Amino acid sequence: MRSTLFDRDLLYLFSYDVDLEMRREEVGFVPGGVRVNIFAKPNETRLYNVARERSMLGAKSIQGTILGGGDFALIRSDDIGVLDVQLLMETDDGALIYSTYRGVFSAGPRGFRRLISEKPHLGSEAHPFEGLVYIAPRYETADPRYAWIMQYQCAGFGRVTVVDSLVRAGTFDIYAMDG
Amino acid sequence: MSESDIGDITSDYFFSIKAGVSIQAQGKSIVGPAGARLYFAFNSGTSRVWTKPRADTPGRVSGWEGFEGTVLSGGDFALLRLDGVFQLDGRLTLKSREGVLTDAKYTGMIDLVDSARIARAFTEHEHDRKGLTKAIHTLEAAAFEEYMRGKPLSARLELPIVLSVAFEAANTPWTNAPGEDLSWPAKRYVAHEKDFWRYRLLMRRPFVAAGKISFEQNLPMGVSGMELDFLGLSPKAAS
Amino acid sequence: MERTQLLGRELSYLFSFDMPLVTEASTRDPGGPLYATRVHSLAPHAQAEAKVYNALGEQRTLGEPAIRGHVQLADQRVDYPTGHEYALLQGRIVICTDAGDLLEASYTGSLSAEDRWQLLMARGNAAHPRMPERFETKAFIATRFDTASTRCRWLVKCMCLGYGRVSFGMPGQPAHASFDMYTMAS
Repeated sequence: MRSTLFDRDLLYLFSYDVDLEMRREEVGFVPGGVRVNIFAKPNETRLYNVARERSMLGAKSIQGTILGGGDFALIRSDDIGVLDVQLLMETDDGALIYSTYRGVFSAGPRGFRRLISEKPHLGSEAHPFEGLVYIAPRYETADPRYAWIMQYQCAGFGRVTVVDSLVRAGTFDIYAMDG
Repeated sequence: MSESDIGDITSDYFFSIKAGVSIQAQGKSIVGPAGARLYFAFNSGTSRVWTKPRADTPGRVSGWEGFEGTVLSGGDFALLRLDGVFQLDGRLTLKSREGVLTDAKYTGMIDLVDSARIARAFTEHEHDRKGLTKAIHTLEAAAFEEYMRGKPLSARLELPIVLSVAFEAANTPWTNAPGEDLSWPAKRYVAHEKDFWRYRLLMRRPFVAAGKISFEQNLPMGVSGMELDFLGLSPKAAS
Repeated sequence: MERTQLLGRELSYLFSFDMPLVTEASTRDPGGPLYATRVHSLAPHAQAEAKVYNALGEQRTLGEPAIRGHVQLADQRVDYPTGHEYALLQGRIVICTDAGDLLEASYTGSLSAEDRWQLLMARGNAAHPRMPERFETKAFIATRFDTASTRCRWLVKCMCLGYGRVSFGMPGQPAHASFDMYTMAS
């Protein structure tokens, strides 16, 4: 058994702020929780570099748009949301990048009840609830300029904004695991 | 399609879907190590979910009254493999006329390689296994290339398809506390509670969907629609 | 407006585990000639070596008793895209803690690969003359644990990342995997 830890690092890749469509598919109560399908507003989310860097990891930095996608989420009765997301992105120079990932959102103590109940709601216009979200995306592309991204298991740290128990928006920073 | 027996399995007709499909991302695809991934979405405006008359589908399961509604949304990040097989992996959300939503996840395959040409290869290379392997590989790779170039599928604009489907349909709120007051959920999650029982069978057996997928001629990867009959599978009852 | 600052990020150490592996199957993916796949699982009767432990000797992590035990079950699939210097992981693992709690997870990940990977896969099980007798690769996984245990219920809320090493013996098949697991936090 080891007594030291392996090296670990997170290499920043890009960020995005996603607005969600008001159209939601609230399938309802399934065993384990409530199934809700949430969709990103197509062609409205920008991928950007927080530090405005033009390159990273020896390659061009990722900047572009999310063309569309959705989260087929399960809001579990143990107060966590399990995300199941598929996204399609296009860089400003025309490369298509497909992403799929699972993630977790903690709604806090009695979060399930607050999200699903008629009242009280989770978050308000005056005081939105900001929840922490963690995701683990992988990416797929055929464009040789961005092929480097496929070798990484990535991790994303995010925040979602909830108003009246509806997720309105999310913001994420995406990193590549390295060590 | 009537109730039929496949060995020890019974398949019962449940409902049908006809839906228009449109290619997303301007038909661009991602050609990766395993093939080309393309994205298509179901057009809710041109979709229909219905149950065929009993006269056409005599085998009906007790407790199933049919499904009438629309495809609310759905899509597929399908993979066209380098060996000419379309590997489907998609989702659908169905909305019944009562407003009940049902999710479906499906997987399936469509073989784009002309079976007649494969049969000819077997005949031509009857005693030459190495030649046969090479011939089959060439046909499979050609099917991929031709489809990516938008060549019509040997004039076939419809192909048969079979999908494996798993449904998720809502039910009354589940609770671990017997007798718990269930009036607390927001109305939108339980608005159709009185109709949930109609669709509970969708969650209680595996399904296959059989039908056809149609293509636009001369349109690269131009999937245009699907028509499917959904059949629930169950073990044959002991006699 | 686009942010100009990164969100907070943190990795908190949870536990480590070691796994001796055997190769179950080595096959070509039906997707075409550009994939090669191998399936590995926990070596039989190896639970004694497949330890789950705290490498830092801590008794508590994140305010809860540190997780210790052994790997009960594990299997993983490794896909090697030809022409690419990496491999993709998909796996499942079941951990049994010393207290008898079961933690199960499905994970995805990647192996940091070099040119010699392609030589190994192109030649199947045959050893390649340039292949060193034993070498390590870096491995990265992401997962969530689920459990029915009330004692470990706190783990269910965590998104976990694993930094590890997979060592390969001759003829180029994974013989051992070792990971440090962290939870993502902000």
